[in-house]
Amino acid sequence: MAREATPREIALDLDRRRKEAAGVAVGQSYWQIAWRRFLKHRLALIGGSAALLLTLMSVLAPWIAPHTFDRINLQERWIAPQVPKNVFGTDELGRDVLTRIMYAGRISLVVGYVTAFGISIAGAIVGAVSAFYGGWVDTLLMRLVDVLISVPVLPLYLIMAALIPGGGVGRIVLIFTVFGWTTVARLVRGQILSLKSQDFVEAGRAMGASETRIILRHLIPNALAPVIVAATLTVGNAILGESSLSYLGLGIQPPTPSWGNMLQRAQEYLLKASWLAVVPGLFIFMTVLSFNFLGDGLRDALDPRLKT
Amino acid sequence: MRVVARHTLVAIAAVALMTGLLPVSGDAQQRRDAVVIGMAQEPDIIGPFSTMAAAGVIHNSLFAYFAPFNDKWVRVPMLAEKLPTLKDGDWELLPGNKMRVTWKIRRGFTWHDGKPVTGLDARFSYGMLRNPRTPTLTRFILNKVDNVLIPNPNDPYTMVVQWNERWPFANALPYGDNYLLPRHILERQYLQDPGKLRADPFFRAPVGAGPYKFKEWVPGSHITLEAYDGFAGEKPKIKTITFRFILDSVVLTANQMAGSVDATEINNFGIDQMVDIERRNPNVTTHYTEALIWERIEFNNDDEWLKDRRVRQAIAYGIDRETIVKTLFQGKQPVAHSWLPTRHPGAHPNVKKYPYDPARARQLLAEAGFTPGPDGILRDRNGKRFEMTYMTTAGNAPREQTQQIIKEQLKAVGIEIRIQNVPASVFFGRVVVRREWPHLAEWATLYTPEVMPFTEFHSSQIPSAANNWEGSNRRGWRNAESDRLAEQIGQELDQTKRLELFRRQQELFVEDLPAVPMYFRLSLTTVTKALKNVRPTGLGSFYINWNSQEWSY
Repeated sequence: MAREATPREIALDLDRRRKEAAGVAVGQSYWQIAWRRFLKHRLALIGGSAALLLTLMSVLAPWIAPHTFDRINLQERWIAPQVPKNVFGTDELGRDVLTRIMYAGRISLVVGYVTAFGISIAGAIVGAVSAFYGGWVDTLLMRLVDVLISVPVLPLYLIMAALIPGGGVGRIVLIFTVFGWTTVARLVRGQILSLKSQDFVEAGRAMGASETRIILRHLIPNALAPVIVAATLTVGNAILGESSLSYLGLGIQPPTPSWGNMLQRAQEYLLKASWLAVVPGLFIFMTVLSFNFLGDGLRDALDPRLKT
Repeated sequence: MRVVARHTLVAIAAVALMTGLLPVSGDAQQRRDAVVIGMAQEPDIIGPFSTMAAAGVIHNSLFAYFAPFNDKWVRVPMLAEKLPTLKDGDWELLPGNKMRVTWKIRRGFTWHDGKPVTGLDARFSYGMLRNPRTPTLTRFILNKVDNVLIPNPNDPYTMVVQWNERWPFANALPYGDNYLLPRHILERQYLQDPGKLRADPFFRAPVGAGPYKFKEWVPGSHITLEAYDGFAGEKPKIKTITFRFILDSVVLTANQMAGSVDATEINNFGIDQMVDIERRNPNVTTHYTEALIWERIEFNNDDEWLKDRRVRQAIAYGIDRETIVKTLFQGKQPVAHSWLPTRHPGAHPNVKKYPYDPARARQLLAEAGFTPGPDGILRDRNGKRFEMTYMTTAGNAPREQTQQIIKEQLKAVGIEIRIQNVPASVFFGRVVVRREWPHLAEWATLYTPEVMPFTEFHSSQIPSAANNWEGSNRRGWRNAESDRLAEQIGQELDQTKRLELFRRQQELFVEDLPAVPMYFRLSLTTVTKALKNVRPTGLGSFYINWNSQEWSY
């Protein structure tokens, strides 16, 4: 027998209709909603695809690069960009710039990705521990963050680079991670401070969950959105950071190319062979821009407070 | 970010230049009584305690010398009435290898505050520089001087220098150093605490006795000197000389192209930049002055592989220095076959040469017990892969290009090179001084015409923790015959005999090859054509403005 809908059912139905009208699928998880929102963000899609393309180009460099990246040819120095042999020209030692750009991407993107990953993990753990335990732990960690943030990083990079021998990617990533986790730590701490007083955390506690379990299973996943956004932005920053270290002669050792050291070496030939500066500059620019767009899109998509 | 912004700025400046937005002739050239010299270095202080070349440049216009070198590399008396000689009797040889040299100081020279320059200033300067508590850079020659005396108090212009031992250039550097400082200004501070003398405000606003006096120092920007009317030598014609600090050599290049500086010195220019400047601003003369700068690859002679002379020689045969010089320097900087540059009278043109000969290199390495490995790289007797580290100053374009070419050339004879560069401050501050490079290290040394082989080649001069890292034989070369020659050269007053000993020492050096000589660098300076009488010397302590009092438009 048909009965009249209760006021609650009517309200739910209205809500569903409103959501359908707004284009939100009913019964979807947070991540599905975020994905749909992300797909609607045109700049983020462009940024994401560009980042993907650049990554593919770098990963596949050994197979698709037209020349060998360290093959010196002193008879073919300073060749201006020409199709099809040297699309981006040749450098001061006659090496193909396109090939070097592809290989350089491997270094620059690895620096970007690994730093972003390292910073996120380190920052999230410190931020979560700091917020969850509060008290002197919080004070100690946050003052450490304050100190690291207030110290100008470039001189620190120089000192670290002088102290840590070798000139590999590992050293650069280590330096960036050691000094870069602070922003993420603050983000996560803020997020968790607001989460930890909420009911589901209390419920977890009441059911006897351990502190580690509460941090790892309940708090961090809920604070993940800002971390992901910060990580994408870090990729761009790390690539720029590597280029400034290379600019100071502390980056990747020759003959291995990185976009940063290519740009650094090009400065001497700015008037003579401008393409040597323009090409790596353009790739750094494109990468940083696409990751920033991607980060923007992710922020919009993952922010639960933002309406569709 | 800042770096990117700087690149953008440079790019904009470059574009502006190319499109002719900036006037080729800047305002500097319209001021006919001023000269602006651009430098890629700013001194820390001015005077004898600075390690920086930029301080020496300022010094050239600000101070008076006893007998500065001219562009022909001849010492011409300025403060001194004449150079003492054995023939004239004012340079006397005494028993026990001691010497006595009498100097007459020309009357009429005054400090910029009007007080006369006398032998008392020289005596004070000697005592101060010699005192181990003052931060003098080297006392190698100073220590050979026993005392500086003014025998007659009524004649403070006659000075007698007593030498402990023979030294061939006792008539060039009066008391073993070039620096002469005013006693009446510095003595009180010196007597109070010689250790703190370096921090005295005098060294940031010095009073000299040269053709130009100090006007102002705006840190990070410039130092200005103005003509000193009381100068007893040739009267300066240019009213002011400004040394502008433009630390980035690319920006300095753009400034010289645009004419916003009149000249450059300590400019960090490469041959490429010189050619660019000349092409883009026909009003600028580029000076490629033959100098005494030796660029080489130093072996660590204590390394288990490099101890073997055959290995060192093989590396020399495996490097095509002619091609490197032709490609990177347009042939302008000659290949070095020994350590003493061509323009030095002791240079040895007929030493043994190591032409590019990879087959000979492979043969020598085979004799030394190396066998090819499966990857084309050699293995030593213990099966260890022949991989060596090659260090130099990071970010130095010609050096890094040389390294990469050599890496490829040595790979062809079975040696794997790993490039590991560090910033210049770390390289010179630590790696070189403390002998911390494992195999190969490249750098340059700037000599004077009065260079002696002792500190750089004698086996007693190998730096170590035990001797507080003193001495310049950083490669760790031990050769008894070369040691004997180095000792003899330092005592030999007869120039002909001395140069003969020099040549024999170089033959030993080249046969033993404790370092691979790469090339002799030129001294590169630029100057606007409108400025007359600019004659760079190419020497380390006498820069483009050594004769600034003779300059005019």
